[in-house]
Amino acid sequence: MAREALSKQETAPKTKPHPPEEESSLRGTFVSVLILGALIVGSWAAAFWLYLSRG
Amino acid sequence: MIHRGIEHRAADLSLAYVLVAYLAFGVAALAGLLQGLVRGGMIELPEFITYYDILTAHGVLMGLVFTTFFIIGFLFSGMAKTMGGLTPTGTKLGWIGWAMMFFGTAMGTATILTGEAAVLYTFYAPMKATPWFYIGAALLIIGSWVAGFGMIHSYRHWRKNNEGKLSPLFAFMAISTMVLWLIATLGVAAEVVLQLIPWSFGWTDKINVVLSRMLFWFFGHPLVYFWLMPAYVAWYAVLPKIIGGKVFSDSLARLAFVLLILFSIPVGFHHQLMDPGISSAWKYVHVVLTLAVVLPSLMTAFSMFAVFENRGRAMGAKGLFGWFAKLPWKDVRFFAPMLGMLFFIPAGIGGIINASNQMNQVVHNTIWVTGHFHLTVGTSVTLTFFGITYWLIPTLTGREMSKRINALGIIQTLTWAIGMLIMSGSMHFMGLLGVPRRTAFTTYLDHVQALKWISYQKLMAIGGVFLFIAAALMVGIVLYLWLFAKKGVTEYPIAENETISSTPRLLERWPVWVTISLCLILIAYGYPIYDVIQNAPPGSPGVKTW
Amino acid sequence: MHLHKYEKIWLSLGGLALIAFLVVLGVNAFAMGSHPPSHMAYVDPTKVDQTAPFDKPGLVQIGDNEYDLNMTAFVFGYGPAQIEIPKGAKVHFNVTSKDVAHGFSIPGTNVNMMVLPGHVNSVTHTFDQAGEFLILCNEYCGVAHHMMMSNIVVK
Repeated sequence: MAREALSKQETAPKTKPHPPEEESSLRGTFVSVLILGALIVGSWAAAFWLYLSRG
Repeated sequence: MIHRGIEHRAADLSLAYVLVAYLAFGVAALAGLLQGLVRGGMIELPEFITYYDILTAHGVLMGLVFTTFFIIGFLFSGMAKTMGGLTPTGTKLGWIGWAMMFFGTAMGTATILTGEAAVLYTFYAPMKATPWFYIGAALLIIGSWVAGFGMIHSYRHWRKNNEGKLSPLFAFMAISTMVLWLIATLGVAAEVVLQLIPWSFGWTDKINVVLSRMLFWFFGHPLVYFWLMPAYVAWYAVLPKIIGGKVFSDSLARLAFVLLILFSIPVGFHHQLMDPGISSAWKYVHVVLTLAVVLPSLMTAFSMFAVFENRGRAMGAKGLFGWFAKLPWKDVRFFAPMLGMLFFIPAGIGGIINASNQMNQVVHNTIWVTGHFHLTVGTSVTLTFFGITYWLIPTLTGREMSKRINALGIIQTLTWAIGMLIMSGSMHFMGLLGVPRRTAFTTYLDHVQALKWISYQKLMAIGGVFLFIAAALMVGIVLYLWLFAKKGVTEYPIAENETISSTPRLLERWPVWVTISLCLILIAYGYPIYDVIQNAPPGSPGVKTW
Repeated sequence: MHLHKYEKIWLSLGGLALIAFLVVLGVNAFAMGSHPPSHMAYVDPTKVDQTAPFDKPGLVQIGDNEYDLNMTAFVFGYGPAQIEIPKGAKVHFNVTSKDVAHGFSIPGTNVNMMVLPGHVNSVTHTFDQAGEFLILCNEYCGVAHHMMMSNIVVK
């Protein structure tokens, strides 16, 4: 029962904000994945350039 | 009195799988060393065995045997831990599966080492091996199904007894992995049983080559996810416990696994992008689905960083990256899988490049590809399996890992990582120059282009030597932990959830996910397979070319 | 199911990047014609030597400095084994196999495709640079796979 109540809360429109520490404590994670994303895009673009240059 | 981390019958079963895994691993590592030295132009093999025999042994024993045995052993153990044991039927099925797989492996290995099956682990028709090689492969696969049924039996039993409850995360992930495996291996089983075995016995005289390749790669790509998902199990469900943290999000972890089931199967054409007989439009459909399977890995990256950051901050880390230093770098149970994760960054990027349709022309069948999967399965997955081994064997045998073994483990992990940086790095570089994979040492009659490669091949071989040293250390450590380590209590590490779970029930409705998976497969493969059977070119007779 | 705000942003950015990759690849392939080699023509693999054009492998001029190069792949070589190509020529390679699966690759170019028995595969390349080019088999095909090659001289 408790679980069902919780999951309803989760799907309901957000009326109250989540605890601030949860939303702000993952800055390091966010920057890390952004670096990862930049690596993905950069490497892919380099490989595509190599493909075009050999055409 | 022996204190085991899980119920003793499950512990025996799990240990039997893990030990065979490391037996295969040891033989495969020796084959790998020889192969690297031959390719580097440093040694020549004696008359009675060829480079391609050894290459086949390395690929089959590492890629199919070490992985499959380790995975099944590890998943059985974690299911027994989180569900309070396996059912007697589940355990029995586990042993029957083990015996079939072991027998199949022995049979296949014998045909390879006697030179009857130098067809590599892809066994592309119309190269024709002895039927006993294919029968060995079939036994390995069907044995793994039986083991999978054993897990499913235990899981269903648990759910019946715990109606309304969410199954443990580990058990859910183990079942996801086996569901993926059961669907994916249907392709290769059809290829082996319906096409290859009758043809290699001579009951049929010709084979549909493109169909056999389609059926193989229907299996071949989810195979890599079958390797990867157990590593993800350890990352999501075990590693947080080892660092003293909690699971970041139970529901997202389960969602990632469901997405992996859905999107890792209908994508096989990205291994056949350079094949004739498959239209470019259908190839592109598979490319789109392939890039969809990147999403669960992006989710995993976020979850892992978040677990580490939360734990680091709980220990008082400051600043943007202070948490990184707080992690238990001196604990091999963390260090090995963590390096594996870091290696997954270049590994994943390489995978996206490989799958990018026409860009595959730059790297297809070059040694870049070999470098790529030595990062994915050979490092991310393997280092994670090593990290698991350091605690799993003591748990199963009622022993303890000492500080000295931990220190040796750090050295072992570093040696593997350094060897792989050298070997895989030079492979990637050579691949961009166009150096072919799966090729013995050659200068192509001293061709100007080929002579430029020789020194990089030597560098690659040096990396291989490092890897062999690390592999030998690992085999020694496994033997020590199994037979000689001090008796004691090693807890089976399973992470708990951060909060009371709000996981949607839909995630555990298997009929829904299996149906969607089959629909996606039908969309991606239905017409192409119909077409390749209906409009096939004249078939090919088999030939032994080695 | 709760998604952290940063994770929402991350997955949206990641998804957009993947879509961008697909759009670039799709436009390059379908609008500009840079498909991966996916030729659909068939040939009986047991009768390659009697089937035109593979009964006479070699270079055939089809336009102004534009050629068809019809080749066979077999254990362990290609026909022809030595080819001369005029500099600047646009060459359409049409290749089939007489026995098992082979590769067909020219290092340093985008010429890279599978050659399967029963099928003809095709790829086009313009040779702007003079020099020697190596055609090599990059799909394992048997005991002398590493000797399987052909040589192109562009001048």
